[in-house]
Parts: sequence; structure tokens; C-alpha cells
Amino acid sequence: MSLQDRSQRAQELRREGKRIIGYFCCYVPLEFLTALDFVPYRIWANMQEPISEANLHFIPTACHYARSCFNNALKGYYDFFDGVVGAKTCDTFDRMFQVWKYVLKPEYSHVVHTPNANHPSSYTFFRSELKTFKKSLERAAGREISDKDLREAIRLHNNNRRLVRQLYEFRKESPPRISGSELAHTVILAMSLPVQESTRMLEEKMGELENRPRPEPVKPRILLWGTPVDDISLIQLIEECGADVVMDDICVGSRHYWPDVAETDDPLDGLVERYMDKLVCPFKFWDVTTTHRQDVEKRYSYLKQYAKEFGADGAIMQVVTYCAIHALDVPDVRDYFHEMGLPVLTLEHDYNVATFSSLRTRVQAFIETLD
Amino acid sequence: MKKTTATKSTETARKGARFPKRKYREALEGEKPVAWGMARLGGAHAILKALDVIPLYPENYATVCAAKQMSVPYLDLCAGEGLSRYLCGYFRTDVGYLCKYLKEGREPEDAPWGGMAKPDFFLPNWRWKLCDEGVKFFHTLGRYMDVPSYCLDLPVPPSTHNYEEIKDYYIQYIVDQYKELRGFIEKVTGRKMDMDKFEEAVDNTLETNRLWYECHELRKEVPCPMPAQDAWSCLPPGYFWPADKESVEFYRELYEELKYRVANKIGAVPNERYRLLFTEGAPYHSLWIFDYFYEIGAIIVIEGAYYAPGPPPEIPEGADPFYKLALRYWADYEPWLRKAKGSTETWETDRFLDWARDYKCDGGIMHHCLDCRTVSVLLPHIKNVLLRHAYIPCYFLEDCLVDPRDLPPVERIKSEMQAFLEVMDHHKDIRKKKGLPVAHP
Repeated sequence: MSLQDRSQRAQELRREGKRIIGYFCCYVPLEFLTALDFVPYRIWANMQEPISEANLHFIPTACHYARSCFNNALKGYYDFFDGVVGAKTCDTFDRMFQVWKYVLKPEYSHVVHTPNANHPSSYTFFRSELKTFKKSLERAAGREISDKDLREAIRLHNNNRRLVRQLYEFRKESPPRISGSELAHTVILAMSLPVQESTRMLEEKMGELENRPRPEPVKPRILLWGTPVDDISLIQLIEECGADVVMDDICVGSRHYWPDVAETDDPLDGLVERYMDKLVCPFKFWDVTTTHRQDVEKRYSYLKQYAKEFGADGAIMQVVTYCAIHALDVPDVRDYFHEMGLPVLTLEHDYNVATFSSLRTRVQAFIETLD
Repeated sequence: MKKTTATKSTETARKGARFPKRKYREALEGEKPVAWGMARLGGAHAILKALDVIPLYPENYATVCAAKQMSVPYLDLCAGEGLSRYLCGYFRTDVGYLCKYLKEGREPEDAPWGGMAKPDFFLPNWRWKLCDEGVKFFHTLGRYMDVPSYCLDLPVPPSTHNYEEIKDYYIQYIVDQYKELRGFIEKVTGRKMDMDKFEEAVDNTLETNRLWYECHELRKEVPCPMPAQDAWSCLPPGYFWPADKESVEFYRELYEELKYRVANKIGAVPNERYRLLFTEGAPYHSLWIFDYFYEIGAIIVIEGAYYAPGPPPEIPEGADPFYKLALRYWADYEPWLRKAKGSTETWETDRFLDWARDYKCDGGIMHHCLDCRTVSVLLPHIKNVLLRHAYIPCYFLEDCLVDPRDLPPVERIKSEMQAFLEVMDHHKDIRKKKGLPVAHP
């Protein structure tokens, strides 16, 4: 299935009576949606089309990615949604959600207020916020979520994440049996399906990969960092320039799939822990109690592990223009990669393939330095 | 010499700038701990006051640099640090300042007001979840000033929530963080909070905000007694140091002056013809452009960014002082949080709709700051809503918070404003026909 057709299955399911809920951001606890038999569908931006209608509602100097998501909605690409759910993590997405609600008037909508801080009080607050989300969904579904339902949904999502992590294992090989763009394609489709179907698709992919011969030749290995990329064009561009994208630190990728929910007696305990502590995103502000250097280590030590395990030769940091959250972390992350001995290329882009030609030249030059 | 500041209308506004200058100087004396935080400090000023800590504001300091025409060299220094040009102009000014600070090993000699004293800790806060950079910037600042931090994470309920169901745990989250903040500051400074001093600082905060709110209520009168240029000069005591007794006195004096003006029909503009709302951040580098508004009989009667506090909250008898502070903070937005659901879905937009009606506005100036998404991102939406629901047209001024190089040619602004006057006249007629309030028929 092509990425352009990714909504096909969701639309079929809707015709069969399922209710489809679009969601932004990996901080939306999908387990609650699955527990009530809603189909969570990741809201996408659009690298292939310029932003048009959304500019009537937002300034052109607002995040291209967020505006592109809203542009899709205004063009009717999400007309099959029965509702939308967001997480309050970044400024532009938060405002976009409000305007979405005002302009498109979805049948159901909810925003989960995700604390930026991790104070003791933040956990108590977030727990209340999850209960509010649960209650809101229960009203929309007309039935309650039992602890048993929620535990089962947690198990289903954990299983799904485990399979994605196993797919990533194939990228540790040199050269990897699955390219970065193929894996991204698979993961993006997986986010557009009910979790059970997504798991079946991943299992099929695993089976196919186990019998696939390794390609030739060995190429420089890239770790991709930055803002959401829900289209394979950027990764393909890097591959066309002669490198393998072997690992990523983006939210339509490892950030979404790496941590599991601990299966605790009270399922809320495990959910609070995952969404407060385990997910990584630069929007979080962990209080600095020691030094800046130690703070950076605390926030980004997982990158060291990724670079080592996936054998990265270099890092490409890509930031969609006007994403302040990521742009402000660029100097710290760049220095951190340098300390690991990894060469770094920083790219700023407009989330549109029409503007990629200048990126290609820079990526080509960077990869030549890694050969 | 080129004029860089705006002409003030009120006597009290002329004293407004002295207040922050005194604070920055006092901090440089080095006798008290210093915190760097975001504007409004999450309403926590009284906690710092009771612990004898001076809060300074990189955001505010950048506006001072802009007004003193010192921002450009700092912005240029920042450009070499790998930070994008679209990032917050305030913060890029501060990074440039810090580059120079580190190079010279002390406050730069040419820094306005002697510079910003080195902080003992940072207090990032996410002002109503509206400013990503207000928090993230302190991660960046850590590269230059290695000090501990406590992030005040102040929640604002989304319009999807049932306000009555959630307000208690939202307010409690603020109270809990205030208490954690007290523990953090006591640990960092080794000081213990004096509860009597804290009670007094909380009372001052409540009174400062009440008076400041009443001053803005008087701006609803026709003719308006105070323009935005004065309101911006008058905001530092209330916005940055409301727990000080001097701030209470400042707004009492301002209130008396405005009351006198209202009683005697003394408008800030000699022949008021057009009443405007302004959103959002002010162009601090070129406030003099607003003098032109006097010439055309236009006055900004209410402004979005750096807005005045909301109405005084109802405080239960014998309430805990931390709870009082949280209620005060919450009150700034509560009227709109209650009504946004099912209305425009955003408290910011609902607020402008109310203001357009209450302040009898004829039009809006939308200041699209190229270097600030926080205050600019919703402007087209606000413009659409104002036109659709209140028949208020808006003029877009594309510019920057601190960089004078981004200001469009003044003649262009003037000619566009002339055309905008005609647009406002047209919509005034529409509002008259619909029976909506019109200040100058």
C-alpha cells in the first residue's frame, strides 16, 4: 500500500461501523482508544503538497509540519474521522487543535494536558488528566473502560511496539536487510491501522525479512535526529546520496515505539510512568539540579546507545523550519554527537519535497566526507 | 538624534521605566540572590520576595536593549552560536549579551543599565502553555550560565475539558508547584522563608493586580485616558515585581491620575476618532511609530501581550497564602477559560472578542512578529473571528520584537494606515446598522 492510500483501510473500517479517531503526537495514550474499540489513526502532514488553506488561519512563520497537518484536514483528507485527540506538548499544535475544533467541529475531541515538568506534583496532575481523558472517551463510547480492558489494550500495544523494535534489529546488520525508507514506510502504515491489524502486518514483514538476502555494498550509516518525518522522501534522499539510515530519533519512529507500558496492578501506574518518564521529546524540561553538562547527558544519553548499537558513522539533524523546541536543542545535541566522535550535518527544511534540491547537495557533500 | 521612544501621555507612565532600572541596579550590588525567570514568573513573585531573592527577566532585558538600540550587536553575536534566526528575538538578544558577558568576564561595559546580574538559579515557566521557548530557552542558557533550575509548569485547561470538573486539580497543581518552588529556593540559597513576610508579599500581589486591573477598566471610557504606549511603560511593576509595596503605590498613583482624566474627559489623544486593539508583542525598537497614531486620532485602548490581570479573584476566608497566589494567577484567564468551550474554542480569541465589545474598538492592529510564534501564530484566526463575530477589521503589521532592521518603511505603514481608516469607517457603519457599540458614531 502506498502512503498516499494509507487511509484506505481506516475508511473501510468506518464503513463497517468502527469509529476512527485521529491523533497528534506520540504523547496521546492510545491504549485508552484501543480499550474502547476506537481505531487510532495518526494525523499526517503532507510533504508532497504545498500549504494553502491553512495559511488563512495561521501565520506562514508557524511550524510547517503543524500547518501541513491542518491543511490536510481543511482539504477534506480527514473527513472520515469520528473525532480527534491531541496532546498538549507544543505551542503550535496546541493552537492548531483549538482552531481545528472551531473550524471543523469534530464530533468528538479531547486534548490530554501533558506536563512539561517532572516534579512530584506533575505525576499527580497527569494521573488526574488521564482519568479525565478516560471519562471523556467513555462518554463518547457510551460505555466504561474496565481495568481488564485497559490491561488488554496495554498488552496489545506493548506487543506491537516489541515487533517494531525487532524490525529495527535488522538495521543493526551491515548492510541492513531493510532500508531506512522501507522501515519508515512500514512504521507509518502501522500507525494508520488498528493495533491488532498493525501487529499482523508487522509479523508478516518479519517473516519476509528473515528470508531476505543481505544487499550489497556496505554504505555509510546515518542516525537521523529531529522533528517528525511521516513521509519517506527525506530518507530516500539520504539513501540516494549513498548512505543507509540505520536509526532514528524522531517521533514517527523510535520515540513512539521504544518504551513499553509496565503491566502494573493498577494500569494507570504503568501509563503514567510511560508517558511521563519513558517517552523522549525535547518539549520536556527536566529540572537542572547539577550541571548543564550532566543535564545534557541525562536528556540524551540514549543517543550514545543508539549510535553504538546501530553502528552510526554520522548523524543528520533535521529540523522543520519554525519548530523552536527542536531548534533550541540543536547546539546541545550537535555538541553531544561531536563528543561521541560522530560527524554531524544540520538541515532545516520546509517539509516540502519541492524545496529538497538544496538539501540534496548538502547531504551528498556530507556523505562524501564519511566515505 | 533620532527619536526612539514613544511620547507618553500620562505623568505616571514617565516614572514607569525607573522601577525596573532600580531593580537591575540593586541586583548588581550582589547582596541578594538573583533569579532569572520568564515574564509574570508564573505568579510566584511573592515566594521570591519572602526569600529576599531578586527576580530579573531576560525577556524584559531584551526589550530594554531594543529600546536603547543595543539589540543589533547582540543579535549578530548570537548568529554565530548555531541558533536559527527565526527563534525568539528576546532570547537571541540575551544569548548575544551572554556571549559578550563571557568574553569580557563580567557585565559588558556598554550594556544598558549596567547589565543583568549573574543568576543563582533559573525559573523557566511555560506561561499558560503559550511559549515553548519560554522554557526551552533556559536549556540553552545553561550553556552560558551553569546554574540549577526549577520549571514552573503552569497548566491551562483545553477547551475540550469540562471546566467545573477539572478546575480543582488544575489549581492544586499550581499550589503544589509553588510549595515545591519554595523548597527549591530554600535549598539553593540556604535561606528560610519568613511566613509573615510572605503573607505581606501575597497581599501586595493581590492589591497590585487589583489596582492595575482597575486602571485598565478605566481605559474603557470614551475618550480613553491612556494609550498602549503608556500601558507598556506602566507594566513592569505589576508584571515583574507585583509583590513589592512600591508597585502597589505605583498603580495607586496611576489609578488616581486616570480617574481624574476620566472625570474631566481628558483623552490621551486630543481628538479621539478611532479606538484600536493591539496584538501582540510591541515593537520595542521603534515605539516612536505610535506617535503617528496621535496625528490620525487613533488610540490603542487595549493590548494583548502583557495584558492586564483579570478581575480580582474571590478568595475564601482564611485561605492558605499559596492558594491565594494560585487563585490570583488563575483569575487572569478564568473568565475566558469558562466560556471558550463551544464558543471560539480558544480563550485567547474569546478574550479579544470581549475586549472589542467592552473597549468599543473600531479595529485591530495585528503585530505579526517574525521572531515570535507564541504571540503571532493565531493572528489570522483572531482576525477572522473578530471580523466574523464583531465586524472589527484588522491591519497586519509584519515586523519583529527587537530587531529594527525588520521594520517596514515608515511611509508604507502610514499609507497603509490611511487606507485602513477607510476600512474601519466602513465597518463602523455595519456595526451601527447592527446595533453594536460604536464609540464615535
